[in-house]
Amino acid sequence: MPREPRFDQHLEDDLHLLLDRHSTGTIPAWRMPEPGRRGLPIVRGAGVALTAKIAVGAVVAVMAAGATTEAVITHSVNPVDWARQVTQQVQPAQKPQPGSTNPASLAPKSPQAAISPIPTPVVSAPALPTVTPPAVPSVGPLPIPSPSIPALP
Amino acid sequence: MRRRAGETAINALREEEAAGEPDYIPGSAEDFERLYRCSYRRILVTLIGMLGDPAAAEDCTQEAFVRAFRAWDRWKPGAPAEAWLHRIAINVGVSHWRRQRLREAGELVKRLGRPAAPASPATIAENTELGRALRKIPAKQAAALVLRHYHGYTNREIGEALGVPERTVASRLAAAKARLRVELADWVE
Repeated sequence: MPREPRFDQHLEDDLHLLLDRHSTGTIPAWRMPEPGRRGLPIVRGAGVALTAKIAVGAVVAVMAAGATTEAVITHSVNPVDWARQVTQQVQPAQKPQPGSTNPASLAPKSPQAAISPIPTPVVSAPALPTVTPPAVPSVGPLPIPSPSIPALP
Repeated sequence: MRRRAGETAINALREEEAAGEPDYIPGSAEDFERLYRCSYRRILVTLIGMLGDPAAAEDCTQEAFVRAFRAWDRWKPGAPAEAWLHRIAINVGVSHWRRQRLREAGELVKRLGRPAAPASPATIAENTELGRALRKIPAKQAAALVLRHYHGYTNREIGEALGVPERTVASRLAAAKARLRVELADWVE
């Protein structure tokens, strides 16, 4: 008998010995799966990995673009130079120049006030009597008694 | 029913279906339940052959049927329903097998130098020479062996069921048998 069919025969016999007892067991009753939420396809399986990769790629691209812009502006790849350049740009804007007027202060408070020719009547509130708060007595810290060691007889 | 290799399992199923059972209608819950009753045991046996663990195989079988039910309205009546189920079940089994291998590798690293935990009684029941050897070969090869030599599918039918060319099935079977010959060296001699 050739070797291959003998091996196959043996294999089939042993597979039946191994698996036949499982092919006669009871079948559990079929329970229909509940039509619950299955989640968005994008957050399942390979979708999670793909979304994470896209998000990381976007963050890296934004950071690379920022670094490139700063490097072009400052002609330096040193981040310290980028920070110095930003500080130099921000500081003059924060300090108001003496004698200069902020254009924003010249603008009307509201667009309506600029358009309407009729001045709105100013209603002054009645003056309230000034109430002085009651004087609070100043309390100083209590002196801490310094304990003296009694003399031993 | 014991079917030898060479008989065409899918043709036999087609004949059975043509003889008494009406065709399945995709999306019909009643028809799916009928399909479940007809094919549960065969799917379970395939997964036990693949995984070597009846409890895990039962879990995978249930998961496979749940997945199949969700896709039931997309099933095409031209394809044999059980082959379609086998495809889903083997995918579930392969995923389980991979997770199990990763878990085993992690446990091996954790218990370096210490003896392994005793196997569960269910696994011991499958601890025949062939059962141990089947657990050592890749799950897809084990599935091809069970489909070919237990269910009696032809290579073409296995290829149709698994969505792979017939040649791939033949090479999987050859690789599986070569590995089994090594594992079961004094088995046939």
